[in-house]
Amino acid sequence: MAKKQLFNSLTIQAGARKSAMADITPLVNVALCLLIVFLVVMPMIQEGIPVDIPEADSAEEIVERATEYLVLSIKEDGSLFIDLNEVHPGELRQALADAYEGKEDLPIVIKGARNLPYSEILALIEICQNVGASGVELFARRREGS
Amino acid sequence: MSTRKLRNPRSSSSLNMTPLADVSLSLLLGFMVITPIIFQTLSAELPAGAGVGSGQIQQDPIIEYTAEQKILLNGDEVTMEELRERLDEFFPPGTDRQRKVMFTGSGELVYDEVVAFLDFLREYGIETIGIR
Repeated sequence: MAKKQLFNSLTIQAGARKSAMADITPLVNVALCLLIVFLVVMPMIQEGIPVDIPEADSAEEIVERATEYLVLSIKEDGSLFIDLNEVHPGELRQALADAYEGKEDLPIVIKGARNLPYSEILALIEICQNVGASGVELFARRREGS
Repeated sequence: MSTRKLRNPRSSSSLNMTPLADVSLSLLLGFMVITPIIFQTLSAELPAGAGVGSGQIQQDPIIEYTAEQKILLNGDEVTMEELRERLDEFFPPGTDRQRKVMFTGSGELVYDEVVAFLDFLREYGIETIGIR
């Protein structure tokens, strides 16, 4: 009788242990979904506005505080973007001044299409100067193998 | 007894997801940490309004790149090779003078050509390029 009682208690314990094990399938699902989202979205976030930028051997990497930099993009068709937001050319100066507030210690990154006339980039540089930027960084892709 | 025997194989056949969860969470964390936003750029200084006429900036060599892709160093036309030699005179090797030039490019140039020229200057060893 005592043997049977002991056996019963053991089966209950084993059963309890089995049911206490957490079902981690939803966790795996969420983690894998997040992983796939990151794999897909990260290149898009890094790329920002897609612009055919020039190449340069001496392009240096900005890693520190890169997310804080203000990126002013100009595409081949002349459309302008501050970070990921499109801006009307007439409102650029004010929009840039507003966006640059609090970032005065950082240069502005200009991401210009390689086929644009330099005069358009010069106009942007002048606006950057007017909003108080002490320098600009010209976005360039480092050549393969350099 | 026979029911217990049937129940046991069923419980052992359930897939152990823990290693998969470990790997996927580690990969996720790895991607979140390792992929920071990186910019590749050429840096340029902008002259401040009051600083344009200052002595320091006037002493720096002024390089002009014309619409005809001619190079003028302080007003004298030079070739790429001559530019290197002339810059060597400005910045003799071994001196600790800051290698800084002022650059003026024609607005008629294509942006790609200007970046290629600035790249040449950076490759030569110019540390700071002022755009005006």
